[in-house]
Amino acid sequence: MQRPRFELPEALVMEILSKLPVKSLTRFNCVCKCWCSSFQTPHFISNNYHNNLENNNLNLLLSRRDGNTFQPYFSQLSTEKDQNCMVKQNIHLPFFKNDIPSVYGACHGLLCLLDPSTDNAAIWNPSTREFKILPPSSIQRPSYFSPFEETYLTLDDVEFYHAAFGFDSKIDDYKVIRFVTLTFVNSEEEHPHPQYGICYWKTETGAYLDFRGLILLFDMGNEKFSILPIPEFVGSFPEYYVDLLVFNGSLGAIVYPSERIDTSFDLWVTSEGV
Amino acid sequence: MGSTSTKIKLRTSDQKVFEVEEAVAVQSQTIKYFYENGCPGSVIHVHSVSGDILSKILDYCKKHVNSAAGKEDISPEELYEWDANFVKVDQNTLFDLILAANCLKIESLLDLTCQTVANMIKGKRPKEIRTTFNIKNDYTPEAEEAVRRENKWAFDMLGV
Repeated sequence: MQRPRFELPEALVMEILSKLPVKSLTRFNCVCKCWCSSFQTPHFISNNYHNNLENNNLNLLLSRRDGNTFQPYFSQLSTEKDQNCMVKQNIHLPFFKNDIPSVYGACHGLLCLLDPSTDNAAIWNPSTREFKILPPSSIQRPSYFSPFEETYLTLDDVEFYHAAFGFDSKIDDYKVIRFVTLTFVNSEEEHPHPQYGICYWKTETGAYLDFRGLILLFDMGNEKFSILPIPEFVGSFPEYYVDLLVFNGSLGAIVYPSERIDTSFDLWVTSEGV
Repeated sequence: MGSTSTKIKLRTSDQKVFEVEEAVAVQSQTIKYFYENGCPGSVIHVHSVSGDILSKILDYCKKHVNSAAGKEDISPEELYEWDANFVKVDQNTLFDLILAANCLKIESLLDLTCQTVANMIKGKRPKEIRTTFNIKNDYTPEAEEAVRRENKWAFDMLGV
């Protein structure tokens, strides 16, 4: 492009820049200090986020594992109009490098990642590559009275199987809910009792968990759980992974091969919004 | 919406006068305001827009009004295609259109033209961007290198 005859006013330049993909913006932090600080303002970030959604500039991420090094990575898929989902680029995580993390969200482009082996949690923005490791939970583990054995049991094991991640507009912040399985033993009998899951943080937007062919919904508005059946078309394909996602504001299911590195994926979307 | 025979007179920065159908002219929120709040039949001055640019803009408004009113049998895809051809102009004209769309308050045109520029620049290097927008680099070479290192992944492969 040539040097222009005149300069556009700052506000119009920002209008143009707010329509750029995050990768270009990240690169343009180098243009001048003023741009770099403008890109950080909540107003600009919100405009950019909404423009990218409007332009159908969708980014689908798939959690995968390298067949040789076993390192987890993410494939970013682009969904251009009337085209298949194609792998645009692969993104390696700056943390949780050993075990494939569980992924929760997305919420406003952010993901919550949990490392199942260490119980570490992080919030990650795959578009900007920024991340925050969350502090460990300070939850008190309650002691458990067994009505059957009429005695207090000793806490033997704590496991974190599932979580959800959402935004609480009342406090303008993000929240993580985690499902904790506490295993108690009667210290005299050494007899483990698999126990109940408790949810100890509430969040506000929709979340879902895949559970034995059911979709568990947690309505953050009324803070209640409900259950949806998995759509029949998903069925059980042993060679395929099925992941749930939010696509254009609706609940969707993406099906892709567990072994082969295909570049094409099938995507179904419900007709109702989440 | 008034009858299609009602015309509004517009005078540009280079003193050209356009007679425009009301429905087309009021696509501009600025013209609509002056039309509804001014004397009937008076000429509306669009000081900051030249005749060449206004003529292009009126083509755009006419196409969109006719298509929305069903006067012209054109599919959304064909209109999208028409828009894409409309913005195939040199950079100065494109910037002129952005300024005019902003000043005349024609939101869809402002979106279209800004998105066009965004698409043109998204794969560029910072240096090229400074030329496009006449921007002075106020980083020291060391500071620029530091910002570049911090955002290394965005330079790995240009593009989006």
